[in-house]
Amino acid sequence: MTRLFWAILITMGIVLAAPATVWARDAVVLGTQLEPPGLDPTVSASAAIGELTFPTIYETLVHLAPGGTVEPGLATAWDVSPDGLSYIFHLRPDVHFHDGSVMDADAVRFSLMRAIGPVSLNPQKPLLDAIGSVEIIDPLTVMLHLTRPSSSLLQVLGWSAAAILSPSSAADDAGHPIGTGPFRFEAWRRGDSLSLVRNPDYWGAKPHLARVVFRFIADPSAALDALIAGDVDGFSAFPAPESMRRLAADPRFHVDIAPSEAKTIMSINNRQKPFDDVRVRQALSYAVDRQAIIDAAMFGYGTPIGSHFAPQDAGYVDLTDRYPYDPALARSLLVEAGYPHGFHATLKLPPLSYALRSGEIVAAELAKVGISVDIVSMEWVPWLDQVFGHHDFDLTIVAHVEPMDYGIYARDDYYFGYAAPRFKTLVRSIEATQDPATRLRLLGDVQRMIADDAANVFLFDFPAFGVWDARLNDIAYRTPVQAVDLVTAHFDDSATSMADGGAADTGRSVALVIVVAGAVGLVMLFRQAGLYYAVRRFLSMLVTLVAASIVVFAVIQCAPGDPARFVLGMHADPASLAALRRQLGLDQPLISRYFVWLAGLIRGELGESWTYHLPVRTLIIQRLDVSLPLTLYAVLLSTALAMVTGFASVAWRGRRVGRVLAIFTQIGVAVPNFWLGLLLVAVFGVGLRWFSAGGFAGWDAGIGAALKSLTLPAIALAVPQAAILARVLRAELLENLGQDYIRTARAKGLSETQALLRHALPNSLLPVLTVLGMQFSFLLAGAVIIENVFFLPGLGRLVFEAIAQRDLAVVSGASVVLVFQVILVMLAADLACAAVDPRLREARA
Amino acid sequence: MIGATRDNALAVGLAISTALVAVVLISLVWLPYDPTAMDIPHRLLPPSLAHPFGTDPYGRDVLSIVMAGSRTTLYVALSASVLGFGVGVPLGLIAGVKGGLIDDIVMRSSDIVFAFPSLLIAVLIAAIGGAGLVSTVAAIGIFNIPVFARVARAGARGVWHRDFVLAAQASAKSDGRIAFEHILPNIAGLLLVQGATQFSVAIIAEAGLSYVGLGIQPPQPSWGRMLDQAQTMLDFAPWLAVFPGAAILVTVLGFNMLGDGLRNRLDPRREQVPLESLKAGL
Repeated sequence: MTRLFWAILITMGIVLAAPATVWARDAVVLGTQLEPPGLDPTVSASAAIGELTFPTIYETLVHLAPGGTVEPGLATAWDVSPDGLSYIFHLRPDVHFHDGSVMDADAVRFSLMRAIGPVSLNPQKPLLDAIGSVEIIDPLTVMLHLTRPSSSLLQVLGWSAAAILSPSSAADDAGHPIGTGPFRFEAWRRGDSLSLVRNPDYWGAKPHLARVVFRFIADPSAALDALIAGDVDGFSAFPAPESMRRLAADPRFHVDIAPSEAKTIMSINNRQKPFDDVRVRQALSYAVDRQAIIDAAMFGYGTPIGSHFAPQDAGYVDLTDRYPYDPALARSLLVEAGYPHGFHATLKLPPLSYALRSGEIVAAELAKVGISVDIVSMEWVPWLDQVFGHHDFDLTIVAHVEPMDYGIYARDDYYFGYAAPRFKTLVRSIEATQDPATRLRLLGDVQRMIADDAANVFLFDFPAFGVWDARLNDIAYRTPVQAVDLVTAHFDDSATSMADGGAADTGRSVALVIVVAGAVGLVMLFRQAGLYYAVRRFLSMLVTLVAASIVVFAVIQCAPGDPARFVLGMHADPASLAALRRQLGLDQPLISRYFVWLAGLIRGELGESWTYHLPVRTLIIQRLDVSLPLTLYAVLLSTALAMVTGFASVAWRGRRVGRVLAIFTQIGVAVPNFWLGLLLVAVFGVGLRWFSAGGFAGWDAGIGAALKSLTLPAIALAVPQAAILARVLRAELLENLGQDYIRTARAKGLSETQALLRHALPNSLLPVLTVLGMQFSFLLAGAVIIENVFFLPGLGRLVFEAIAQRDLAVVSGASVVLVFQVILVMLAADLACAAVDPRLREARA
Repeated sequence: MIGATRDNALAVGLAISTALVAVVLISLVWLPYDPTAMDIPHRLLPPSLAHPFGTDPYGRDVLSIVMAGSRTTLYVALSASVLGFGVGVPLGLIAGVKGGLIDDIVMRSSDIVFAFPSLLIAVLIAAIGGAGLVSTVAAIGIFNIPVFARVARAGARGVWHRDFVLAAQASAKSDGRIAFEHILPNIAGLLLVQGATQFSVAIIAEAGLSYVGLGIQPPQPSWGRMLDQAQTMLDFAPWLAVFPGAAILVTVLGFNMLGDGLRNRLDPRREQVPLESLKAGL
């Protein structure tokens, strides 16, 4: 039986030791801060979507060049009628969508009409609905009939919201995007990465890169780790400006700080008291010291702005002196408005470093004028839902990245709710103006009006922090569309990129090996421990498991938020919400829902993730590819270290070495493992570069590379656990040393070391085994913090992210899996103890 | 030799714990600088006489923040321990004294709690209750309850058959009074030792939760959150990570040694590491 066990293990080991797949240098991995809520930029306002899919997957009729000039895109030429109400576009011939269908007038009409349709969620609908109808003149010519003149229409047609979609596949674009662009969609691994491949049938210049992978990393420290470790080849918007100087000085990297349209503002809920009073809003503007925020939160990178306009755009008026930093004036305005003692407000922040950092400083500055601010940091989807969708906020900080988007101040339904009637009139007159000089003057008026009304607090415009691997050439950041041009990008030497976001097949077999080995081991333990005892423990385990499942279910029910709304999004209508609730069984009584869920669990169905529309089981298996090997690695390291240290500290307990070891274990127990991880990263990852300092190389890159990326995390996890284990071993050994049989052994002539090794050690293993079992369970789930330090896509992080996304199916499914493995491992440890010590097999309470 | 080490443990542990409490008490009335006062022109200064721990990216004095953070640490650890103690010990005593069904229920319930990885409980509670002080204390405290219950129960059962208990029963004292007046004082030592251990566990747990953003929220200072903020600045401002982490290490070390020292006092025959405390420590 033992031989069979080893045979299975060795075979699988050989299978796994296949040579590493080396990626040719035509694949690039880019880091990006926000994971998009979907992949269709025409149905959501989240700029994260366009950042990744445009102009890679999707294209538009026209192309916006830096400086704002309009160039041909999917349309080769166009004409505008003198009255500005008719636009004729000549389409490029021979362009195909990724699904094979032809890009023609039909597709253009479909896309535009869909954008302005009654159920459209297109973020630019207010501007696009200047279009009344689209007439097909011939397969390559369309005429747009406008209901009102719109001087911005040509610009808007170059934004991602105006992407041209294939009529046959548009409905699925959110999960499976089809466009005409130089790259095709390959895969979206939720919570981890988005991958694109080169489109061989692209109408224009073919990209040099065969594959592009976007990895989602928002945390400044994780981003730095991933970049330096080479797990990511670059960021177009790096979240840690404090590292820019260091990266610029590093010859491995090329830094490109480009002007961007990122107008960072503190948005004020104009609809809500006390912010409906202009004096209060003005007080906020006077209370904020922009330069201090730029210095401290952005480390000096950023240009102060006085209104909602980027300094590099034509028509910009410098209004930064409209509200100079003047806390005294702010206070007097508050008194005048009727708030002599200030008031209380909440500041809801999205998970972006510039927002979180600026928020801290703003809160401190507002406190100085008597406004006490509660900071609430939120994940992206909840922020979109609460702040952007339901307008449920007082203050928030976010960057608006669309160019020339002052029009949002004229929209009634926009989240900060300014929409002053005279402003709307102003915007309408700009739309109607064809004369450039008048337009510029009116743009100035727009800026002055918003500033005078202090609609929001205008903080700064910050640049795009582009940082790339120095060997990656011709990667450019295009304004004003905030897009990274990947078509011309290419690597210039034979450096290979091991970073990968692709298939998990090899990885799955690693987790499978461990699970199979575990199962075989468990069966052996069952036999060794005796059937009676094993069955009793097993039944006891089942009862605990069922009870724990009730607890998980109950906890999930208590979580706030409506699941149906999260699935359908914030614009869903009540009828669909009700239908979905029925479909999800949310209208059933609690008890029956519990049993349905439990039955599903037994069948192995853990439900479907509401955020990512994937079976929870699949998500968990993907994550186990990392968590199981990491846990095993850490446990092995910890055991080895503990055995040596514990034994040595006893064998040499009279000498200084022994005392030093005892002190080390004492300290080791007290070390927070994530602090150790940080220090290891600083020294070995970033400083000496002996190991990767973040991210998981993926099993496709070969066992060696994968294990290397798990080494530092395993060490960080193992050290405190090893200390605990060593102390247990030491205590047991010392106790056993006092026993009679040891005295007999010594009397026989054995040295103390021999007596320890041959007699005391085997008898001390029982509690060690129990503790090991507990450690394994703890590490599998408890490694979530380490997974954050090292950016490992493990199970702990999955639960963590799912909680942030309110994805209750994932949370309940993963919780059950984690609880199951805790109980299972405890069972195994108990059985192992019974197997080792026959005295335990008889009666056990 | 062994004796010398054990006495050292208690002495050192007591010294460090007292120092922490002293720092906390002092910080209530005096701090070198206001830990929330931003002084942006003086940001990111390395350690010096004026700022022994340096300054952070907003110009705040790190020593002051660490000292203020000790308040949070102590508060959370104490609250979580008191929660666990206050609920767990009575439960454990009742279970140990009454036995039977109540005992089964208490033990089963603690099994269920132990079936959850401790961090998962903390994360789930943060998910429901939102992040912040209350959720953090609740999350850590809930895990403490079964730990204390088990220790109390084991202690009660160990003491139950002793003569003085029999005598008390003979004088018709109710079980409750026996538990309170006789058993509790006799297991107080055990509970104290466990308390010290749980205290250390709570400190690391709070630091971890705050590090990932689920624990103490700004503007309340937290050593764990300081470590998170320090991560991107390790190359030009390492003191930002070193000092908070060292504070955690020293504090936990102190309470661990205090616990060890107390345990050795109670049972001088051997260095013991009871399994219950290990379960708690994970």
